Order: sequence, then C-alpha cells, then structure tokens
Amino acid sequence: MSLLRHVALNQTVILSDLTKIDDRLRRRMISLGFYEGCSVRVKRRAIFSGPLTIEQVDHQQIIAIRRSDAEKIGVIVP
Amino acid sequence: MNQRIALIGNPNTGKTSLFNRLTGSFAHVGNWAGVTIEQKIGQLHGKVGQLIDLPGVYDLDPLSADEAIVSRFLLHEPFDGMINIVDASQLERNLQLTLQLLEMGRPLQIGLNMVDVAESRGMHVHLDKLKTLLQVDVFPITARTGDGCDFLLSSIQIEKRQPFELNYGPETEEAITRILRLIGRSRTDRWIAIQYLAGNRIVVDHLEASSPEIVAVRKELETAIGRFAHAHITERRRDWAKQIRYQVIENQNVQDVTMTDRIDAVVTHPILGLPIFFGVLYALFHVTFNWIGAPISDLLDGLLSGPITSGTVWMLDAVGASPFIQALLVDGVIAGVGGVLVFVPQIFVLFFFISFLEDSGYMARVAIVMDRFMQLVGLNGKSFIPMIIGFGCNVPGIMAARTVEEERERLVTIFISPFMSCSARLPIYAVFAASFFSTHQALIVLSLYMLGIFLALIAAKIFTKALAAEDQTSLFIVEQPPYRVPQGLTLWRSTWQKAKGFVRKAGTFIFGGSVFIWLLAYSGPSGFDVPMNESFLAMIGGLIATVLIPLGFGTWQAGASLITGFLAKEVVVSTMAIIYAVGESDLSDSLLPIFTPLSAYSFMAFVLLYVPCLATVAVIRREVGSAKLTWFASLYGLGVAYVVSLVIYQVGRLFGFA
Repeated sequence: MSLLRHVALNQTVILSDLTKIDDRLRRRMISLGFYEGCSVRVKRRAIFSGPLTIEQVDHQQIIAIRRSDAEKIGVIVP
Repeated sequence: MNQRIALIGNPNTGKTSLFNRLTGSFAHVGNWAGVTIEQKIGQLHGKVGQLIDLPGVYDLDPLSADEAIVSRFLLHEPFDGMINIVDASQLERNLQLTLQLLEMGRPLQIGLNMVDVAESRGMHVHLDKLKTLLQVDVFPITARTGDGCDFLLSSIQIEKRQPFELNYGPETEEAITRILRLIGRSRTDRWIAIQYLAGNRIVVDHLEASSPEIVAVRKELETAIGRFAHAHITERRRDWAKQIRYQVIENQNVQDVTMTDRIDAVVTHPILGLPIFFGVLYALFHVTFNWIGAPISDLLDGLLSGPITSGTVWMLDAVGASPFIQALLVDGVIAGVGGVLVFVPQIFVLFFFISFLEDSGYMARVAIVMDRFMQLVGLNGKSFIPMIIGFGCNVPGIMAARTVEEERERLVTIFISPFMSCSARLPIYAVFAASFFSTHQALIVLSLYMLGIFLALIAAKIFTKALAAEDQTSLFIVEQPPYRVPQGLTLWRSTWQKAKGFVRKAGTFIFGGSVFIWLLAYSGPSGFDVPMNESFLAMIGGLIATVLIPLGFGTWQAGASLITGFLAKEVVVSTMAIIYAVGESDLSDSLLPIFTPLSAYSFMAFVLLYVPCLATVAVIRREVGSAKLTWFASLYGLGVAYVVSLVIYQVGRLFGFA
C-alpha cells in the first residue's frame, strides 16, 4: 500500500485506508464520495506543499485536501 | 393556506437560486459550498405558504455550525413538507442525503437540478425510473434560469407518506427496534434511531441525555457486526445510492478535458496561481476606482455640489426658511449625506466584482491558493473567503466565518475580520487618495487593503498561539465546483442585495449622524452659530487631538471625525465635509493645507484599523456569544491602529517624507 501524497499526478489509484485521518475529515470525504474502494487521482499539487486537488474519478467530483492529510491516506496502485 | 416547506440539499446545488425563483426573494447566491449560513424564510409565489431556505448539508450529521442549523430545524421546528434539491451531475452523493430525508417519512418532493450539467458530461438521467425507485415526485429544474420551477411550485403537496425503509441488515434492524422501544417512540420514528446509530451528534446528545441505556444497544450491535455502527450504515446507504445511480443514469460519450479543467490548470497552477490571484484583486480595484467608479462619482458630485445645492438654497430662500434651517440642510444634510452618496457607484462596482467571483466558482480555488499561507498563521484557506467578503462589508464576512469548521479557526477569523477594509472605508481612501496621491490612487488603496490583510495575518498568528493551548487540529477540505458563467440577473440581484444596505445607511445612520454632528459643530458653550473652532465638536475632538499628535494628525477635526466613525466608517467623510462645510470635491482642497501625504496615509491606516463599526460589533457579539470576547475584538484594533500609524508617521519622517 502507498500513500495518496506520493502518487504520481493523474494516475488513477484506489482509496484503501481512511482510518488514520481526523474523524471529521473522514466523514466529510465519505459524504463527498471519497470512500474506501473508490478510484481517485491527484490532479494538481499546490506550491510550497500546499493542498492537493483530487478527483473521484467515477463521480467527477473534485475536492482539495492538505498534503499532511494525504500523507495519512492509504491507496492501492493498480 | 400557510404551510411551511423546508428546502434541503447538498451545498452548492442551487437551493438559494430555487428559493429566489419560488419566492421572488433576492437572497444571496454563489458558487461555493457554504453561501447560505442561516435559515431564510420567504413567501411562496401565489401565497401558498412559506419556504425556508436552509444551509447546504451532505448529511444530517453536522460538522460545522451552519450545518447544525439543519439538524436542529428538522428535529425541533414545525414544518409541513420538504423540497430536496438534488444535483443530477452528482447523483450518488446527493442521494445519500435524500435517503435520510425519505426515511423521515415527511412529505417530500425532489427538484432535480443541473440536469444540463449532467448532460454536458455525457450522463442521461431516466426520470421515471428515479421516481419509481424513490417513490416520490421528481421534477427536473434549472434553478439558475427558472426552467421547471413553476411546475415544481404548482405541485407542492403536503400529503402524508410512509417512511421509506432501507433494510440495514438483521442485527442493525434489531438494534433499531430496541432503541425505539427504549426511547418510547413508534415505528414511524425509525429514522431517529438510524440517525442515532449513524452518529448524528445532535440526535446522540438529544437521546443519550434522556435514555442513557441506548449506548449499550449500540455497543452490542458494534460487537455483533464487528465494526462501527456509523460505518456500516454509511456503507449501506452508499450501496443503495450506487444501485440507484446504475439504474437511472446512462453514460454516453464522456469528454476527457472539461472547461473547468482548463481554467483550473491556470488559476490553481502551482506557480502562477498566487500571482494570478493578486492580479485579479488588483484588477478589481483598478476597474473599481480608476475606470468606472471615479468618473461616475465625479459626475454625481458635480450634480450634488452644483445644481442640487444651489437649487436647495434657492428653494429655501423662496419659502423664507430661517438661516438655522438653511445651514442645517445645506451644511449638515447635503454635505454629510452627499459626501457619502457620491461613492455609491464605486461601492456598486466593488460588490459587483465580489459577486462575480463568488458566483463563478473562483472562491473555492482561492481557498487552495491561500491555504499554505493561512496555515502559517494557524488558519486555513477557507478563512480567506470570509476575509474577501469582508472587503465588501465586515458583517456578512464575519457571518461567512461559520463555514470554517474548527471553532478556534472560526473565532480567530472573526477577530481579524475588522481589519479587512470594507467598502464603507472606501470613501475615506477615495477622498484622501484623490487629494494627496492623485497619480497612484489604485496602488495606494490596494496598499491599504494589503496592510489590512498583513496585520490580520499577524494578529491571527498571535491569537492562534494564545488560543491553541492543546487543540492544534485543523480541518481543511474544500469542494471544487465546476466553473460557470455568472448569470446577469443573479449578479445584479446579489450586487443590489449587498449595496442597498449602504444606500439605506446613507438614509438613516449617516443622515442622523450628519444632523447630530452639524448641531455639535453649529453650537458651542456660547450659544448657536458659533465659529467652528469654538463649537462643542471642536472641544470633543480637541480632547483626543493631543493623543493623535505623534501620529501626524493631531487636529480636533481629525479627532472628531474618528469618534463619529464608530457609527459607520463613512461618517468620517461626512463629518469632515460638515466641518469644512464643503462638497466632496472641494473637501480635497480643504484637506491639502491640513494633511501632508505622509500624515494622510497615517490617517487612512488609522481609520482602517481602529475600531469596527457599530453594526460589525453587533454581529461579532452574536457570532462569538460572549461579551468579554466582543469587547476584546472591538478594542484591540485601537492599540494596533495607534502603533501602526505611529510607525508609519515617525519612520516616514525619518526617511524624509513629509
């Protein structure tokens, strides 16, 4: 398993672990469609370790989260 | 008939647009999650009842203050029916809220919005299938243009319906039954038990207070299914929503790169994003002042100080009004109110651009661009949205801070908001910048806005240090909606909505303030019609003038106008106009001998920072809910203003500026 933070840009990966992030962030991500098992890809990284823009591939839903949080999110690279 | 219909849906799905369509209201809309922060009530067209616009939520379990309003409303307030607005392009996510509403069993209709967006993404929605699966009426609408809204309105119904039941599996269903028995509710309240198991904070607090024994039921269930109850319920709901999506949406040719992608590639570019943001801000001020605002303001001023003043004088002469009345109207009301009214065009233009930014979807990107910097001072990128709105007016800015989930970050955002230079401070800058910095007006004004931001950030850093004893967490997650071209009508409405407060203030506060100030200036210890220097106003202003000497503007005139500025910042200009008994354009000439460019800048900085206006203090009081914090938030600026102006003036002199 790798971490969302280190995934290459525009590579589709599967979210596999949301248990290590803050409870509220997890809930909010889940209600936005970012649940364990869905496909996501990182679209952009802001400068100076700023937020990551990620897309839920299936829903075309785009959100931004912090890189420090992305470091605690596990993904599976197919 | 006076039925109450609640409007509920995910954030940024067009609830407020629909609300405006159905009620003829002008409520504020935008393209970012969290525009509506409190419930708004409007009368439905045709007087069939009231519509209640609620903040957007993803789930009935609230994460932030504005979301809690929805849960409380549904639990405690009476209503007859609900309209659930659903974003067709994000069906699966939206349906998870819809399911929770269906489970409540209250009368419900669905307005399916953004079908056009879904189609443009190659998704075709089978409405009839959706209707059958959900067992409620579904109306396709385009809230922005109003298509389909009339049909939805004429079909509002409040007939009873059975609660929708989704089977959560045998163990969970048994737990639901047991909870219902323990809290003494019937099967129709099944949804409350489900909300409890799903971890809805409001429901948990509500139920566990009266029936603490239900905790054991949840624990038992969690042992039986081997995971958290809320995780199980969420997954079950998601599977259901996914099933529905598969059945009602037909995917056609999907475009790979959308317009939003292309714009985002530029405006959230890792390197270009920040310069573009500041470029946008600069362009906003440049257009507001140099291109559109200033010429129209000059025109208006010519009208006020020319024909209107002389016309009034002529009329008063004709009816034989006393010199007292003449002076009151010409030197008091026309000078005071007129001095502020001439800035209405600038303020309209500024609000127009802020509305444009909000409605386009750019605000959500600003949160990304600014997050890293805001983090340095202990805030997050979302705090920047209230700050930008504060440029228009601090009052809605402070209210918009409710979308910041973390309580500490919300408080700090409120505390620093008064440093955001609101449009009421514009007239002051405009007068001084025109008099002393005529060639670089936009730049000088922008520098004041930047000074405000800069000091706000420093203050944020200090407050965060002081407040964050143990709690260092921060929540940052921002939905990035697709861009859209703002609609003319919507833009005009939200511009008018924001700017009309300014016009109204001119008729009330500033009118009253002008008369009062004029009276103080007209009377003195020795009677009426005294020389200005011997008036009460001069005495009051003189009291604090000595303190202001080190700042470069130690005159009673400056002191007096600063005191009155607490009513509303634009009153500073009114006061000066009355003191110097001139219209706005001549005011510039009267100021020239009294201020130098340096002391003028020092004065502008002081006005920017010293105290929030009365209306802002009132909203701070409401939002922080503590008198002590309100006092602090209102007064610390005074110290900051003094130090900053002192530094500007004294250091400026050292460097040989005058």
